[in-house]
Amino acid sequence: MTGIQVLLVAAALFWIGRYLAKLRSTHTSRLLAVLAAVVAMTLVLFPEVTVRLAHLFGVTRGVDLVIYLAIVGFGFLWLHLAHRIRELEQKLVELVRAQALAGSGAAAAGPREREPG
Amino acid sequence: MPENRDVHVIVRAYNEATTLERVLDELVAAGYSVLVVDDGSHDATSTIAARHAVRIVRHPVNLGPGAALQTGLAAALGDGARRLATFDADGQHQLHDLAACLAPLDAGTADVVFGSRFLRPGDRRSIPWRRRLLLRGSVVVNALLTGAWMTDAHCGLRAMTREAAARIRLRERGFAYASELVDEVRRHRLRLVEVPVTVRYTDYSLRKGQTGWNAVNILLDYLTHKVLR
Repeated sequence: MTGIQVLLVAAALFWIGRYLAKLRSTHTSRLLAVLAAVVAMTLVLFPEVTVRLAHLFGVTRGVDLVIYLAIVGFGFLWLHLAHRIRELEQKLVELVRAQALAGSGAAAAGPREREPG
Repeated sequence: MPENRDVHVIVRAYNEATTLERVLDELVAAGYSVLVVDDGSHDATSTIAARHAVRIVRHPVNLGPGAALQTGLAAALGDGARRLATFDADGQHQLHDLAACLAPLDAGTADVVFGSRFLRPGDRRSIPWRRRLLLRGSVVVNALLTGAWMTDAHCGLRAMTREAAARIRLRERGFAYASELVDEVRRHRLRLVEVPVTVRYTDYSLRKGQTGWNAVNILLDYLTHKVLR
C-alpha cells in the first residue's frame, strides 16, 4: 500500500469510529455513513476502479472524476446546509417572538391603562 | 374623525437609549398608541421605555429589524390597531411626516405608505453623499429583485392599514426585510404610495446606519432570500 492509501483509509476508519460513537445519529444515517466510508476505502485501495469509471464518463484520469463528483457533492451539501440553517433561524425567530409576546401581554398593560411617569 | 389613539406606532429599538426618551415623549404627547419592540438591547432601552405610557415587547435576544417589525405588527394587530406605523427610535423622523404618511390611509387612497427621502430636492440634499449613494444603489438592487422602482427602498417611516398588516408576513430578520416587504405588498396587490419625508441626520444616527460593507451583506441576504424561498 502506498503512503496516501494508508492515510486515506486511516482517515475513513477514524471518521467511521467518531461518527458511530455519536449516539444521536439515526440508524439510517449510520448506515449511510458506513456505506460512504466503505465506498471511499474501496476507491482508495483499488484506484483502477476510479480509472475505469472515469473512462466511462469520458474523463481521462480517475482522480479528475473524483474531483468533479466531489465539487458537485459539496455544492449540494452547501445548499442543503444553507436551507437547514435558514429553517432553524425561522424556528428561532418564531420561538423568541412567541415568548416576547406572551411575556409582554402578561406583564405590561396597554398604553391607555398605564399611569404615565 | 380618525384619532391618533387608533394609530399604533411601532418603535423598534436596539440599544437606542441615547435617543429613545425624546422620541417616546413626542409620540406619546401626540396621542399615538406606542408599541416599543426592544430587540434584545443590552443598554437602558427597556428601562427608558418603561417610564412612558407605552406597550413594550422585548426579544430576549437580538433578531434583527425585520423580525422586530414582524413582532411589532403581530403585537399591534393583537391590540386591535386599525392603522399601524413604524417610526425610528434614533430621532431621525419627525411627527409631521408621520401624519403625512397616515393621510393617504385615512383618505382611502392607499393600503401601505412608505416615506421617501428622495421625492423632494430639499430632502435629498440633507442626506450625506455617501449615504445617498448607498441608498440609490439599494433602490436599483431592490428594483432588480422585486421589479418595483421605488424612490427610497429603505426608509423606516411607514404606515399601513390593519388589513394590509394582517396579510404581510416577513421572514427576513435582517435589513433585507425592506425588499421582502415590497414583495409582500405586490404579492397581495396592496396599494402602495410614497410620501416625501425629511430625515434629520446626526452624528449619532449616521454612526448607527449601514456602512458600505454591510450593504454587501444585505445584498447577499436579499439574494439568498430569493433563492432559498
